[in-house]
Amino acid sequence: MILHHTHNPFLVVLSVLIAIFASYTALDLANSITVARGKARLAWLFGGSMAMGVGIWSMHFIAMLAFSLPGFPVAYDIFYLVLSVLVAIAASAIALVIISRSRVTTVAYVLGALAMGAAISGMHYIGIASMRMSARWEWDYFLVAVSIAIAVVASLVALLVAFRLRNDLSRRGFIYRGAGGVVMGLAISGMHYTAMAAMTFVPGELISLEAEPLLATSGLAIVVIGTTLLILGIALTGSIVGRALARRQKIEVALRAALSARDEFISVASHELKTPITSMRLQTQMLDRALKKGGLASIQPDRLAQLLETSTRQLDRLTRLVEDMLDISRISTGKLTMEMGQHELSRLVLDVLERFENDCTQAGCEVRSKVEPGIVGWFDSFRIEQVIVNLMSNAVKYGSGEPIDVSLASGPGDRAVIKVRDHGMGIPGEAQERIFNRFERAIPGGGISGLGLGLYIAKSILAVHHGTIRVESEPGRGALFVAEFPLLKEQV
Amino acid sequence: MKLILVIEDSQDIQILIRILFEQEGYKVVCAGNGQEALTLLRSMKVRPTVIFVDLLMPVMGGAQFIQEMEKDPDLTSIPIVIMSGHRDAKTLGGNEKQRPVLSKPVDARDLLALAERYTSAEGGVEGQ
Repeated sequence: MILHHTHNPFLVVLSVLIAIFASYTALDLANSITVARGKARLAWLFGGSMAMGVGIWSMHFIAMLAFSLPGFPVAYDIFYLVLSVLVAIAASAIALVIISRSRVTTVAYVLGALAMGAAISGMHYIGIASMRMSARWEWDYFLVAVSIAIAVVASLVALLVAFRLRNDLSRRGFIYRGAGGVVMGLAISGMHYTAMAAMTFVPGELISLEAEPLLATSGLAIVVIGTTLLILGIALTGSIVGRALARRQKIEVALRAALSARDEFISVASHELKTPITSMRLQTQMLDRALKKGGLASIQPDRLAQLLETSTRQLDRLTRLVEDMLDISRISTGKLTMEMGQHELSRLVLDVLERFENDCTQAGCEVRSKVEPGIVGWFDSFRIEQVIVNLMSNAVKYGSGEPIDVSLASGPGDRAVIKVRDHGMGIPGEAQERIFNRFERAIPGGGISGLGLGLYIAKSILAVHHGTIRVESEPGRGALFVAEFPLLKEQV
Repeated sequence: MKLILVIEDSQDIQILIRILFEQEGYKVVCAGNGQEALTLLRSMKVRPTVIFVDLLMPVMGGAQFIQEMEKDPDLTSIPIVIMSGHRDAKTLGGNEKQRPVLSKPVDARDLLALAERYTSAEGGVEGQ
């Protein structure tokens, strides 16, 4: 005689919901474990495995409490029950260790999924083995195999999803994690109910359910559900709070860095302003002295001419400093607008090189240029000139008097490629990205003048032109700066 | 002879200080950084009476220049005046000897007063 079993629909739904909640919590914990280091990581791993293990186990156990065989009361052997909890925790630990690694190989995914699937199946079938009733069951081995396959596949999917999502703290990550939790929860429930469907119950020998160490089902459900929700709730809250703290810490670190960059900038800027101010102060004082001593005639004409030249140069310098600062504020308020038009880039590059002849000679740098003639493009002439001037003045400043190679060519895809290479001190690897940031210089306060804004402005100008700028350098071997941008109007 | 060495990386400031001193009858030599100045000093037959040195310069800054000078018995006795835009110049290394510090923007009168002090201490100072 085959006995017909039933499932309490309320508890079935509850078991599925708990599976989803546990899965979501596990996905959420993956992030906290990944971020944490040292002892905190171990604590998260331990707590996470407990929460996830108890969560998955609880889904199974509630599902078993939902099961009833009319006329045949069921009780559970405590030893097997505890064993099945431990197996669930072990399965969770395997999963969390794998997904919190910095890199996961395919082999690790497969082995991890097999181990996790085996552990989940083990938990389920150990749980079944803990059932005590006056009936026995026969197995449909095909469905048993299907249930194990579901456990392995669900584990693999869970590992992949969790690994992908572990660092995604955005809203999208939250939605994906939610969806991942639902899929995983359904898979875990699916495994359980498939495994239950593999069982056919027939009356067995009569046993007494009063014997120790058996647990009766009455009231047990409420205790299990309550405890599980509590553990999962604590884990999830901990994870969320921990993450909020981590995020705040990250913001604070970034804020402090920004503040110290700003302070450094203010100090550099005041230093930069002092040179023109010094020069003007000296000039006025000298003129004043000369006037008191017998008029400007007391200064030789060539000296007077020199005084005026320095005035002009220092005024230019002040103007440039102020323009740079204005550009910075334009960039940060999104008001760096371009006046695009058709211009000859080759001409522009040659013009800038001509203007730099004096500076280069003074610095002892020979300029070796290779400018492809007739390159015409759609760009803001003033701004692109600014980029080239910036690269050139850096090359002169940091070029240690060695030759400077400048080239302009049209690259693949109708792109202008401007290269400026110096053979000076070079830029250490750690600084190569940093120098394109606001207020940054490779060598802070190293006695070389400049606000540390030039490359940032250049990068921003090129960005508006849909172009890029990059550097290749080794300390002591000079630096190569490559600026690229599309020449065609349609590309901009 | 009243010879002054000016070490300053800004060419324009160099020119201005040179003209300022020359107008007052001093002879002036200039260097763009500490390294250049050392080379210059070691090749000079007549040592300068006083050295005006900027602190922040490429290649070799003022503080290192002073250290190098102190190691050289031929040079260590030349008086030095520090010019700096650095607010903490007085406490910067290399100034255990309490050398005078002119903070930038330097004042022409201070430059001349110090030049006067060191050249007259040596004797042989004349008006223009």
